[in-house]
Amino acid sequence: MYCLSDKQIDFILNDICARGVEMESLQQNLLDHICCIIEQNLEADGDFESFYQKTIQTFYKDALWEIEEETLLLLTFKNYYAMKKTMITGGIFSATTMTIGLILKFLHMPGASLLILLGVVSLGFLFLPLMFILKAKEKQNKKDKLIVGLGTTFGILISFAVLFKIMHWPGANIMGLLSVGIMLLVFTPVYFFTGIRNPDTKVNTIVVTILLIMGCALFLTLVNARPSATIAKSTESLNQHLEDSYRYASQQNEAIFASLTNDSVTNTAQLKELHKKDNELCAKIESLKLNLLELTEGTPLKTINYSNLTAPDNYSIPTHILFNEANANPILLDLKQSLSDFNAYISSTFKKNTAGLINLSNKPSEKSNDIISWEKDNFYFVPLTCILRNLTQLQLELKYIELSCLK
Amino acid sequence: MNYSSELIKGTLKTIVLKLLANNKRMYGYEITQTVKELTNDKILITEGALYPTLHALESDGLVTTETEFIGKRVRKYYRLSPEGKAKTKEKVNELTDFMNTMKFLLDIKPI
Repeated sequence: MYCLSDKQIDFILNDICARGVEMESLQQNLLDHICCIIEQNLEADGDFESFYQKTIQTFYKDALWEIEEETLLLLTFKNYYAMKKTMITGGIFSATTMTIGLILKFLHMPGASLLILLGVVSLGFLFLPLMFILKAKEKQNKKDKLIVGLGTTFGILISFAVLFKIMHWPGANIMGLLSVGIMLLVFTPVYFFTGIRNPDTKVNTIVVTILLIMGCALFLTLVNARPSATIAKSTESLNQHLEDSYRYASQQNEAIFASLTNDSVTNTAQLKELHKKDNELCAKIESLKLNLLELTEGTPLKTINYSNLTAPDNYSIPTHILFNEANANPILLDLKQSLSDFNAYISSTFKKNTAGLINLSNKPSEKSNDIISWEKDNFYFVPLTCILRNLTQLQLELKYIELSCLK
Repeated sequence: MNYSSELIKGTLKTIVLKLLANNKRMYGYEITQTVKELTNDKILITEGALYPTLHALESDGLVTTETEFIGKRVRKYYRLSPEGKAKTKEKVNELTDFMNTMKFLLDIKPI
């Protein structure tokens, strides 16, 4: 019977580790097992080194870490069926909620957003990750596992990009571009060059690669789709027309104001005050318009030229400037307050005003029972070009009210 | 004659559970040696099959483990848990039934 020294035991343990066995309990099992074999079978004066090498080779076919791999496989195997079942259930749930959600969305019925949200979340956080785990386990080489991993990442990113897009949440475009980038620049080349080398999968690889590229191209086209040129042109000319009307009304009012004479009927001081307040409010709106334009377009502007706008349909930057989450920022609240003060001033001072007041009231939502505030109705997730029009409309209304009081 | 690893793989859990039911606690090497002696070297359990099975049984809660230091190394003893005892009966019955079915299926006459 051979007696092992501490040094030899350390040597065996280090060798087990070096051969790729990482689980501590398995290392201890194997160490004790080998020590037992050596102690039982090696003569007291036997050659430890060569006996150990012979013994350890009987433990495996190709490498010692196979035992650890087999252990891990057995440990995860019991979850295999549960995972498969959960994956299928999750997939059916996701497809069902998505379909119902989309039908409701098309019919403009309530509950659509919630169902779509549930569908995408269960797809991205349940179905796709489980599919990745199960598929990766089936694949033998690392390249195939990488392809499955990249495909899953793309799937999760693109589904969330679409969700963010339809929910008007920030980051949708970045996520969409990132997922398409991964798809086109990483996944497709790896997939293509792996599959093309194998004669059995050659044709299939070419077909799938074409479908992938076309799918990505169609998605990008959708993401970057702009309103049609005719609609853009008509919006642009409508805006310009409104802007011109405001400038004209402004000039007319100036002329009337200049021709005013102080007589017994006209209270010039009162009108001067009105004129001052009105101009101040118009200037405030003008500066807000320029501010929004500058931040959205990225270049400082002195005057507005509607035909030169590069991002007329951008709604995320204006919304970000005017709102914090769903609450209006001080800049917008200040404008609303000024308009409200102006309304109060007009109704108390000018009883003969026939042009009405600026409408700042909330209104019921067309889609649900909610009440939508004035600021949300006019500015929340509204494209830049429409915000500018709404603001010009306000300026024009202010000029009408002034004119009505001047007469 | 040694039995093929495919045959042993399918019955290894039952073998280990039954051995643990007959002996209070056992460690890996002891299990391989006991099986070897009991079967006159006909069933040789490899380390590559035994330890993954023992880990799976432990993770399923069918066996419990206790460790003892033997000099510088650690020896892990395996013992049946209450669930393991019930499972052993179930597994042995299943295997017995399977063997009877096989006898009938392969038309094996008693020797």
